[in-house]
Amino acid sequence: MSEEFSLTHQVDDTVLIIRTNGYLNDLGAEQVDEICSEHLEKSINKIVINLEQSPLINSIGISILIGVIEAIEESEGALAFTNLTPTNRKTFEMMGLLQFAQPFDKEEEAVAKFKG
Amino acid sequence: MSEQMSDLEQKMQQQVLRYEYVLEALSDIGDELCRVSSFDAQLKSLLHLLLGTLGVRKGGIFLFENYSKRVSLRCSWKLVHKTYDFELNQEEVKTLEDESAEITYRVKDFTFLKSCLHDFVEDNLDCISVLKVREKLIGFLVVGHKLKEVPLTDKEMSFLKTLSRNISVAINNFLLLSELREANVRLDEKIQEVSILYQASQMISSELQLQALLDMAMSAIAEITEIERGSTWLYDEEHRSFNLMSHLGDASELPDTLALEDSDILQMSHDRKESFEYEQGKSEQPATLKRLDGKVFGASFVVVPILNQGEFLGLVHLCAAEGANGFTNRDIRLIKVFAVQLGAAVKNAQLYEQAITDGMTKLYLHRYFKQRLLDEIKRAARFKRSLALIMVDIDHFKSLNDNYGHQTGDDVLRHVAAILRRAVRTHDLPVRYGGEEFALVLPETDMTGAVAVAERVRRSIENDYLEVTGVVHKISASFGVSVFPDCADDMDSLIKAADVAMYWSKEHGRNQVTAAPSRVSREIDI
Repeated sequence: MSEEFSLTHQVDDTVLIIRTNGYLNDLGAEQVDEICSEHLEKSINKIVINLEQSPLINSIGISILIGVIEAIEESEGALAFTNLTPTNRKTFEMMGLLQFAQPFDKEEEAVAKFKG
Repeated sequence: MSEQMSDLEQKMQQQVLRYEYVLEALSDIGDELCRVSSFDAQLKSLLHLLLGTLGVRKGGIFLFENYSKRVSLRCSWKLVHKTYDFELNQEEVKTLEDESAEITYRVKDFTFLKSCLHDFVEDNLDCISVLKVREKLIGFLVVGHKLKEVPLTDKEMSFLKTLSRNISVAINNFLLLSELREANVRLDEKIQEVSILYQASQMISSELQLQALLDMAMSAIAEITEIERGSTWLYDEEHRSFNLMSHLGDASELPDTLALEDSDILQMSHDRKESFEYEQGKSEQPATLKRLDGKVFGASFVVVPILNQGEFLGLVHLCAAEGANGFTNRDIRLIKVFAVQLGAAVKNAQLYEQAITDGMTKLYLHRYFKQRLLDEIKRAARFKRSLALIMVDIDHFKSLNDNYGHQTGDDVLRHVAAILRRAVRTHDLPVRYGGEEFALVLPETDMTGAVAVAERVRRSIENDYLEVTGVVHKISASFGVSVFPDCADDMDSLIKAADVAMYWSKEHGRNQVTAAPSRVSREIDI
């Protein structure tokens, strides 16, 4: 729990890729929301969030991801989650997140899909 | 049939998962309680925990302050307003705090806070929860809809209720804890203040020597607060003036005495008997600082009177160190309390000084002389040092008294006493021995040194004169010097030896210095 949350992001063509690092249960996760908002304003509305390094996502993380989904929906973009652990996948499914964002096993698959 | 079962099973499983998820959020709220972070950060975490558990996009926490009856938006996520503030009336508070009142409502069914909720109409809020602990209103919690503007299900409403209760407890604990922390900080500060004052008071309380006392007071004040310059002054009622007793920092502009009438600042302190701060350009009184006051006190300073039971004894003047940003209320409070202690200590020292000195000549009294001389002899014996005693007797004093009256006699005594006072070092003791007889005790002095001092004083008296009501008097005195342990090995014989030497001077023409013989030479004489 002591591990600080951090993230890296890059824009590949028209797709924003965010790679989180650390548990998504900290206020630090609000960064995900900020980065997405910044890019949505620049009309980059296809976003891939790679959660490989965030094995634990609790309701704080879910709250922030819901915010992201909402913003992408409003700008008619698309969102994908990749590298979900089975537990996280179940939680996302239960909370209805996967109705708005497609899960992919690997980041490249999602990026390829959005580019294509 | 089996398909139906598996469908039901799946639903059940989903339900269990959902409950697990809510339970996890509850334990996270508990975790949040143990975290060391700011209140605002904790509130925000709680809000996110709630929104994420319900799957809701937006929400906020309002906190209620019982003292002002005001409710304010303390933390929010994705709401239109970032700040919001309104007042509740007593009746509303009472109804909301009622134990039987519901906790969680759909916004449309909630009859309170209509105008507030109306201002959030753009946010299309779904539910509102009353935060309270044991009939004590803490605030409100508002939540929006789920994704796609889907309202919460009844089940989720009941989750909201459970979570609200836990959040109420958490917030209540945070508040209690921060109150406790603040009280602790205040207590720590108080303890520190008391200990500083205690140390400073201890330093000064046992000191009876005025000069040493006020030197100590000055350094004690420098310990209490950061000062650049400061001085202590004692009031001389007879001359309506102030004597500089001690100072800190640059003293080149400080006179030894200041007349009351020459200084507005001294007058203010003397008349008001209260401490005041002066800041050039900001203080109304005095409108402009006299040149003298500016030189002595600076451009911005604090003056604290030294009082004892309402009697004005003097004052402490302090300039804050540059960059120290003036004096804080704490500084002033501490200095004032310290000045009370100082007032008592100064009064004690003054009374002691009066008790051991002669009012007319300001020299030490015979009684004190005996006590000190005994101490000094003991010290000289212990450290194997010598100690000199000079006896002084004014020549022809009796006829002067008879011919010109007692007034002139007193003036002569004062005149000689002043010369003696000027002649001695700090550790020497000038004494009025009795009548027209004086004594000087000189620690750490041998016969050669003592005779030189006596000779110097003799010449000063001889070369000076005194004018009383138009008559000029030339005065002289006779001196006898004895030294411990050379001339005597106890107090009485030391006094006697000096006395005998002094009479020898008298009998052999007056106005001269005679050294008592050493014990060795006396033995040879015999």
